[in-house]
Amino acid sequence: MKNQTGPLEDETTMTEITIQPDGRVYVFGTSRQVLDILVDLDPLSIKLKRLMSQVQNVECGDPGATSAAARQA
Amino acid sequence: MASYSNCALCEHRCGVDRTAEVGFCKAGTRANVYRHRIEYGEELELIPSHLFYLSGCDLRCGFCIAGINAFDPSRGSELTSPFFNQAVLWGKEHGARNIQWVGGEPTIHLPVILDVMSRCPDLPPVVWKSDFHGTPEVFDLLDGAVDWYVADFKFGNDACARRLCGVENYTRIIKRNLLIASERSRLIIRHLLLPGHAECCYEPILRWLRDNLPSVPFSLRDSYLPSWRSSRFAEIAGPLPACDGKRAQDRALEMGLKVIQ
Repeated sequence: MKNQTGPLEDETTMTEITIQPDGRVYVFGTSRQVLDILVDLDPLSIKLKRLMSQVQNVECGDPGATSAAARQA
Repeated sequence: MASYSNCALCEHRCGVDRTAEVGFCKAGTRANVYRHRIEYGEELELIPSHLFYLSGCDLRCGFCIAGINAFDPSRGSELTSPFFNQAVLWGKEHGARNIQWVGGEPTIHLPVILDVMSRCPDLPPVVWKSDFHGTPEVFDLLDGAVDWYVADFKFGNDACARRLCGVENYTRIIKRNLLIASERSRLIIRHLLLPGHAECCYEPILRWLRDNLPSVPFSLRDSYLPSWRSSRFAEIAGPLPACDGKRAQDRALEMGLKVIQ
């Protein structure tokens, strides 16, 4: 989508994304393309929820997260 | 007819003749567009919206995300009728439902804006996104020319407005203008949550909206990030705590406000 209206740079496809250290994602100036990406990512997918659940278990010290060597020791 | 001579477009009411000198906003008679683009991240009622960003502003919010583009009215390309007509056509061809004047602050450029809109042969619906620090005369001039008002309700008390934004009598002015706008057109009220300003700003805003404009759509923004000169103010030098957005939304719903996204 090329903006042909004079000397200004076309910024319609530009989006500013900032990811904070705590994991929060800020999206400023959402473009159509970024909306498409967000839909494709499907942050509410069951698979993603399972992955997150697994990570949270690890962070909480789930015994299943220890290595085989550690379990044999 | 709005005029740049004896300027009284915003509540600074400098009274300067902008054909020869500049007042608080530093703007002359030329309006400059530093960006125009179709935006998909606005309120659902508005998108896709074709935003025209005008440089120059009548406020000096220490946390302004637009920074130098907002405060230097010389930035960008001149807003002329041929440019505007061509841009509007481009926006329509790419699905924009409306045009939206943003800034900086469009109020300080009202005469030029009204002029280019009056010369546009097929003007789309118009959204006026503003700090609502304009004078009542401005709202009289906008009456009938605007389909939507989007108002920033930034501060809940005058002391915070003075400290963070350098403006006097903020709450009296914005409350007056919100009531005017609510009677004349569709209105969305936005509030950007500022860290550390829940009790002093957010709560008074909620209470006033509950008592005066409870049915007006309330768009709560929890995306605050430090910007411009926010490091000068300790409480807004960092991002909004993660839990504050949800807490604020719950509070607005408790108050019976019409919270939108």
